[in-house]
Amino acid sequence: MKKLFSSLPDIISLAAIVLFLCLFVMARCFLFRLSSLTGGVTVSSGFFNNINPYLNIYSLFALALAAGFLLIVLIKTFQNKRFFYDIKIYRRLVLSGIVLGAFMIGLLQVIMQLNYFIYARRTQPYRSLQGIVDNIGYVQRKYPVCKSFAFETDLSLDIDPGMFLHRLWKYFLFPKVIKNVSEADCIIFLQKECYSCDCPASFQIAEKLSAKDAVAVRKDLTQ
Amino acid sequence: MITVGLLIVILLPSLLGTFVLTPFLMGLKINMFLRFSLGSGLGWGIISLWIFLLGAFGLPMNLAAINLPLILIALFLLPFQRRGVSRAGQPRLSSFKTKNISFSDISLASILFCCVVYSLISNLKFVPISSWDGISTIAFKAKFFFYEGTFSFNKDLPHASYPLLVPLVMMWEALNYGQWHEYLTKFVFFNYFLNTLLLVYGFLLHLLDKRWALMGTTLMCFANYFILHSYIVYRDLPLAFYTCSAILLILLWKMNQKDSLLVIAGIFSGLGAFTKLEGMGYCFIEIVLILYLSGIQFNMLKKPGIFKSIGFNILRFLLPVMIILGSYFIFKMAFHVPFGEGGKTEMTIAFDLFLRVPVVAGAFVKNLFGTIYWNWNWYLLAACFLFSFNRLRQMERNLLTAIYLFFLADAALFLLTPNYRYLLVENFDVLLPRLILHFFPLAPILTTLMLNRIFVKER
Repeated sequence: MKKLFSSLPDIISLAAIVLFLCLFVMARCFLFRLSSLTGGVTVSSGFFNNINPYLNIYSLFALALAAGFLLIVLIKTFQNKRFFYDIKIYRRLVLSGIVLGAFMIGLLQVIMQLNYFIYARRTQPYRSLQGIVDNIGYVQRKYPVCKSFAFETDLSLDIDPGMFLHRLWKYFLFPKVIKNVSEADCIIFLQKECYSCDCPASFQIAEKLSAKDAVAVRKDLTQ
Repeated sequence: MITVGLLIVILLPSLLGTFVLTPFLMGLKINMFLRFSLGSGLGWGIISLWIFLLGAFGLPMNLAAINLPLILIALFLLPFQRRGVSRAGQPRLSSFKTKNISFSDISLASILFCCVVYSLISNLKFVPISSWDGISTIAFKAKFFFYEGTFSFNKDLPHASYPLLVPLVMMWEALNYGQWHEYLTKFVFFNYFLNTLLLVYGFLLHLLDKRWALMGTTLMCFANYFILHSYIVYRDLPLAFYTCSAILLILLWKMNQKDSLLVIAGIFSGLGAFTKLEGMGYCFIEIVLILYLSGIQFNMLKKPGIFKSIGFNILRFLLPVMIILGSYFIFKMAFHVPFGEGGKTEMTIAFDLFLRVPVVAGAFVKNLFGTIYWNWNWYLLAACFLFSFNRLRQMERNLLTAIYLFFLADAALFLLTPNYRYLLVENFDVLLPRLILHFFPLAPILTTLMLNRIFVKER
């Protein structure tokens, strides 16, 4: 036992290697199971639906650990009665439990870390963000005549996601600026149910980005 | 152009900062990792302050005006470098030393390498500037300064009161690349990530040995939130680097009794305050820590001349802080920029002050132990503390005091300012984990020191 504790870095590194080897397989399997359990939630913060689902697993693990200790103490005491009174052994048992528990927690949370890195990138939030960023780049490249833009949306600009999308377009379009419709060269219709109904007479729809998104350019600039 | 720019961005801050740092560390036994990490962070800070001075005086903020004087300073300091580096061995807390590179060293180093490569690729290829604060404030300001070449409109930009270190260094990067690059301008965040890793590794190597230092750094890398902030555009990781550097330098000052370390700690603290508004609050924490370490800790107040000594220590620390912050305050007055942020920085004694205490405490517990952000770092720290709270070494006690002070300061922020509302919203982790990140690197350091004491001393 003493030897085991003195080589803690070796234990940790060994466990870390096993952990990294298992991760790629386990993460996918585990996440599939988790998402089916919770009804397919998105990972955008530290919680799933405002709770950490692993708290139950931690509790189970702590219970299993306590039961394991009791078993070890009982067996060892049965073999040698002096074991029961040796306080140092209890301390070491608890410490080894902490190390094991820490690895269990580490394992579960690194899976979450990989989820954020691999799985979430292909779904939320990065994939959708990347889509918007690509759209902005496309509009800028295809319509260099647009020196200023107007932003039209059915979303409220005082709360997310409208506020965030407005700022995202504003940032990526800069140094081209966002102005009122009357002063702008082009209009960005974003999440607009009927953009063709709201398009002013002096503009024409130049590009449909999706069912609710489009770009309109002032007619005199297209001629 | 971009490749040359990237080379300048990589080399200039590191060399300049390391060269400037050398006279302060003269005669000290500091390993090269710690030296390089502190130097690089200082270099980025010097560049931002230089651009800030140019902009504040209405001078042109172009590449020649920024880079040439800095390169000249670096060249001037170059001959003094060999004299400042001490190659002698260093005293360590642990007598346990590893002689050869072992399997565990390689495995721990490969985990670190994976994290660093992941962060680099995410920065330069996968994740564009798309975080809320990035697009609305930090990168937006940097892009604005890059295209306009002036600070004149700063008061009209969103969150004008926010300090400018990160926008200015992003602008400097873009100037070097010759264009505004949506991915490469984030290189500064990778740099701070790497610097923080080297800071923790270097500090642990200063006290323990290579294997334990690697273990502590790996512990830090397991924290999801720390890795996440290495490639999204927030100012919390740079602030974490400056804050933890200042704290660790104060602890090194206590160990080595070298007063110049307090001056560097002051510079880092000032740079922290120039990174984010919270940095100003952290200056007070550092002052309290200096007071604690100067005399109160050892009940030495009866010692003759102790008050004079404490006064000088505080002055050494405060002078650089006041120079950096003072110049920024003068700039704010001259450019009509507000000092604080409405609804965020004003102090209020709320009628429900005492009712807030359990909510704040609960939020801390839930964030530290219930989220996926920190991995098992806080669990491990709590467990180590439970097993050794009455047998802490001096360095561990000092680190623990610093962490306590940060918790108190963050709790006060929620109790005494309108920021309490961030704990009441459904997704309450908007602000709190970012505050915890500012001092998080201290946790794996303390954990490693405690684990080392618990396990190695039994040999």
